[in-house]
Amino acid sequence: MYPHERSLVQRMQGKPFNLIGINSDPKEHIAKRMIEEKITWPFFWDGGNTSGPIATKWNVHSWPTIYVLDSKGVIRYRDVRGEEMDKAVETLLKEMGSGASAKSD
Amino acid sequence: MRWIHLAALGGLLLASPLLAQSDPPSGGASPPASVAPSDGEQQFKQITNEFDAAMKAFMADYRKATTDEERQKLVDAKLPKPESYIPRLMPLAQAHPNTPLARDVYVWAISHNAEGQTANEAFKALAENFATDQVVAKQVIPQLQWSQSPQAETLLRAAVEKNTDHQQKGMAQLTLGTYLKNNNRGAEAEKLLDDVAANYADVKQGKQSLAEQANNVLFEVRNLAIGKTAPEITGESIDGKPMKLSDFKGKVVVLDFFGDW
Repeated sequence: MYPHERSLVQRMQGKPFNLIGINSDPKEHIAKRMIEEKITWPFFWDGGNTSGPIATKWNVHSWPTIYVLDSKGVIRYRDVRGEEMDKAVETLLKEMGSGASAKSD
Repeated sequence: MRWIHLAALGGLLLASPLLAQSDPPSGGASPPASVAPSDGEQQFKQITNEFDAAMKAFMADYRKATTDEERQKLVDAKLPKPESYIPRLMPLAQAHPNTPLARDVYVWAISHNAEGQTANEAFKALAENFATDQVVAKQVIPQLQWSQSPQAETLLRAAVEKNTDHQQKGMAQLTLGTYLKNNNRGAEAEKLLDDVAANYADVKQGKQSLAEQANNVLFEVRNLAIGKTAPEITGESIDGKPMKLSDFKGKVVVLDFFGDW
């Protein structure tokens, strides 16, 4: 989990991309793990348990649950993992025209 | 990996005591003597007790194990496999169809292994003869929203159609709606869930009523399907700073609901 996410975030540095977490752990626990696992990306802290307000509204019952949104905020993929997640992100970046580094000058 | 094993074991251990309560009701009408499968019931008890004892012995050793390697060895060597018990149980059901014994065999088989040929057979038999049964309503129906067995849907539909008990019918309909949502059949899911939201505010299940749970699933069907604009999220970061999803507008976003367990 974390290693894949770390490398995705690293590879996408400088591109119009964000990985955003919604975390369901007690505060002290995730604060500690953040340092151990080098979680540098932003995340919502959802109240310390699995029935936090965001997870409840989004009807999340299994973790991790993944949504991939395009630059307009439209949900385009669900529950893609690993390479599939990378591909989804690359496809959406290309759609924006910024994923392909082919500048026309 | 260890967590997965433990979770699975928890499920298996839970199933047995529950089942013990599912013996045919005492008092009231007992099944006609001609079909009373007392031998069969004894065999059922003997085989499932054998399984429970093997599981207990395994758990005792498992708790004593100190390394992951030891644990894995134990799992490979001593964890009792439902697949070797179920083929001994199924003939009991086939010999005494439409009796509580048959039901108990099918419920046991499904709660210990919910996929594959045998599970399908069990689902089908439950759909035909036990769709409104209380034990099935309590122990089987609520587990089926993620089922991979094609016949699970048959059982859910039978339970929705045949149940006259308000609570059991509502639960079956909520589960069928959720199952259809999970299988990308949103339109039919919506119809069923709308009806649950309208008619089952009076049935509690856990903290929420069936109607509230249906509304949660409906929110997902209507707002969180592929192609919909993601609803706004407002909340706080770990250090208490306000944060919202729209802060990241104009970018590709991976939303990751995660927990460190």
